[in-house]
Amino acid sequence: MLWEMMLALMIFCVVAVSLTTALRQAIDTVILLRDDAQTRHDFENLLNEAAVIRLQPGKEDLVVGDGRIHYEREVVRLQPKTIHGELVPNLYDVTIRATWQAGGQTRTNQVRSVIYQPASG
Amino acid sequence: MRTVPAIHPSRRSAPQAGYLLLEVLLALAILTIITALVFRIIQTTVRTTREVTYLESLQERVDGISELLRQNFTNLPAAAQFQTKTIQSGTELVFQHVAFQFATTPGIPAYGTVALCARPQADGRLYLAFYQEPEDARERLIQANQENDIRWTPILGDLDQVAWRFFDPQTRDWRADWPANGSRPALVELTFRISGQSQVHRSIFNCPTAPVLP
Repeated sequence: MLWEMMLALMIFCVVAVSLTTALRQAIDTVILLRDDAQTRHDFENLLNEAAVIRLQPGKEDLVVGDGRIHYEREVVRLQPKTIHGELVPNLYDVTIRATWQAGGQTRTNQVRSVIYQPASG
Repeated sequence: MRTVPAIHPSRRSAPQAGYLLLEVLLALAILTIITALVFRIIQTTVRTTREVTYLESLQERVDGISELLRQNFTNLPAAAQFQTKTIQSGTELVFQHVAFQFATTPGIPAYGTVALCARPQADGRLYLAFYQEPEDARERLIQANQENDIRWTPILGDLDQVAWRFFDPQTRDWRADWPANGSRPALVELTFRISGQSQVHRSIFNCPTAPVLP
């Protein structure tokens, strides 16, 4: 009798823990997808913004929304040369990185684009 | 003559097969606890699933509206004119000589005036709406004091706050309005918060200032 009862309780505990774990993982997945969509949306906004503001080489922290996702913009001045050896000016390599915490882990995502910004523009 | 089967004396004193009252009560108690726990798990699962589904549908709506507005701003024709007007519920964006990007009947090209703004709902909250009519139909309604006849089409409701900003490429700064001087902002920023949500949605739309070549 005692063994039967213990076996039944053990099976129930295993099922309950499995269900809870599955539910937790489903929620984590949804949060991850949501964060991913949010960062892509913010990347698009920040790249649009980077195309018109005056870019300065270096790293800069960006405050977006409630600050849950930390964004950083790194600008590197590119100095490519043509086949004739002429310098192509006003080209910037812009990298935007997103860092945030989800499910007890640090997650990162980044986007990179080359922006032409004429000095007179 | 019928014979009665004899009963063995030892069978009379044998214990009857069954459960004790204590066993039954214990089993019932365990069953109750298990049922309560299972019910709790199911309840949590259903509630969480409902919330996740709601958030997903909300995000889809926000993404859809954002993409629709992005396409409208990106595809503004070179001849389009843009300005803002200050109204009671905020800022109204007015586009003139633009294609009807919001048209619900595809295949019918039409040009005219498109206006975008936040309008008050009956419950005091706001809804994002657009208006589109051929050329100066709207101006005629305003001049005839029939502004209430303007048919606004809601695209996103139950908003707590809606704000627009415009990036001036000359001063390289954001401003709250845009004059009717024939120029265009380089960027248009829309921020809004859906009622009951803490997150403020922010979208920045690129607004080409030069004619887009085919």
